[in-house]
Amino acid sequence: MPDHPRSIDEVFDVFPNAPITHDNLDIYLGRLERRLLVKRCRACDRYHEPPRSFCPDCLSGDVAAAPVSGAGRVVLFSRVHTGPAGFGIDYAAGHPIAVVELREQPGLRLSGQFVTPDGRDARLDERVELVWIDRADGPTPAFVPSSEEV
Amino acid sequence: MAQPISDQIAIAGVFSAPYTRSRGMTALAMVTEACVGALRDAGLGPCDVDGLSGSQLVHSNTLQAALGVPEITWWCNQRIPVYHQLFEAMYAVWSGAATTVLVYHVTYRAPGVSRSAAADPFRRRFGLGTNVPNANPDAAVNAVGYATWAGRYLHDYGLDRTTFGMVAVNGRSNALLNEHAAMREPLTMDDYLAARMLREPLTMLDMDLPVDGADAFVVTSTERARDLPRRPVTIHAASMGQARVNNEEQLVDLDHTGQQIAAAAMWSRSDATLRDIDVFLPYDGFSIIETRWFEVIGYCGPGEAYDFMKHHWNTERERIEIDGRVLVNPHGGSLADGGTQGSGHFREAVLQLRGEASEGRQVPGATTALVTSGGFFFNSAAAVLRADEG
Ligand SMILES: [Zn+2]
Repeated sequence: MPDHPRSIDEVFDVFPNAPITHDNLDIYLGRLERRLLVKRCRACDRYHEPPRSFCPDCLSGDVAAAPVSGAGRVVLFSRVHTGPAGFGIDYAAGHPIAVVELREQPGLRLSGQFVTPDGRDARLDERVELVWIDRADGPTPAFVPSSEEV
Repeated sequence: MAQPISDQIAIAGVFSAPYTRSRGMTALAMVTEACVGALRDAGLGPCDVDGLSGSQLVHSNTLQAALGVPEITWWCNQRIPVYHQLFEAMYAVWSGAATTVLVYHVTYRAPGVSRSAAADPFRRRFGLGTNVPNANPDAAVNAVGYATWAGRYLHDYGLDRTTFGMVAVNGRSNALLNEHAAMREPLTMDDYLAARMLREPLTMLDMDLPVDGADAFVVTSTERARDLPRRPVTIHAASMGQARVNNEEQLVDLDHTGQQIAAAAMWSRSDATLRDIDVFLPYDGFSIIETRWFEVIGYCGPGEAYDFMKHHWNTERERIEIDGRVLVNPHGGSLADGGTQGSGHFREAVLQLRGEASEGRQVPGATTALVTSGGFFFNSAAAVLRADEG
């Protein structure tokens, strides 16, 4: 859990559009603190996505949100020219979406905006790391090209 | 190998309310039109129906009252795609829960799909229907899921967009011969490559065409269908497939999808093999889905769909003719006939197996059709339909 627990009301205020549930509430509490969390089973140590209350690998109910690096490689990418309004996204320029396989566990993936100074597309399999961006719907994890690679 | 249910259940009637960009009718009116037509086609009336396999857009209780069906003993209101409704009806008849089931499917262009749809005051009052937008702009789900995996596919096999272009051109060329199709302008590869990009690498010509339209089918036992006016079309083998990791972002890769599971299950239940197929109806709600079905169902290996389509391309007709004979989505598919979650594919299978498709589109003497429905994540299915020999 975050070091300084915030109230549930604040999560609903800061993320007005997010599909917040009892299964992912702690993930959004983490976002308030700009901490990237993923559900992890304390019985078998496996991470899983999307967030659930029972571990899909060993069926233990001892699952908690645990910090992850946000570093990994781009498995999927698309620049989309249409999408939901209300997030302040410029779809005319195209919104770059990357699905990143985290280095913590094979097959464990998170999606987020791909951010570069020149607005280029991500290359499949390129290495990336976490960056936090501020959007209309609060602090949002995003990905930048890995500094180690340059 | 054939199963006890193989060819025991038949489609005895079919009818479609026209597919158009705007019909100026409610979903209920289109469904009613399609159902009345399907019943007439089967030589039956509302009193002969004791089961309704309905959709989430028009529930079976609403349709029962609208059609004046006195009593039903079985129904469901399944989600899209249409094989859910068809397979449910098949199992209901097989189990004895109903003897004659009316299966229907309707699409209504929701205001979220385009500016013109949003400008229609009737559609605005209708609401979003099943087109609920994604609440997370960064999620690679739904259409974005297909786009990202399409990009991965092209990257992994060193291909470019002309692969998907062949799917789009084939569908459109076929639609020119189908008076029912919503898109009947010729399409060239250059047109395709210049189309507006929606979700890279997929353009507006890579995704199913939003239409108003409905299809209905009468499903009953083959024995009973043989006493009705039309030549029965039997369901020889049917399968569904879903993998444990099935969401768009976490999917292991394109070799571990519901498609592989559905294909293996279907062939294990079928006496027909790929060589027996006269007409192939792969789902093409996104062009990448049809591309992969060629590979997964066994026409060619992974990454070989482009070469396969090219090898079997009729340059005069600008379409795929497998071995010069087998047509692929001869009705135009979701990209050109109209996007109806596969109901057009099943309708075309029935028409082809009854020999009723239009000139140039009918595969001469077609007796066996292969329909592969759904995509990569949680909606794959496959079926072999046959013209009844009895
Ligand atoms: Zn576990």
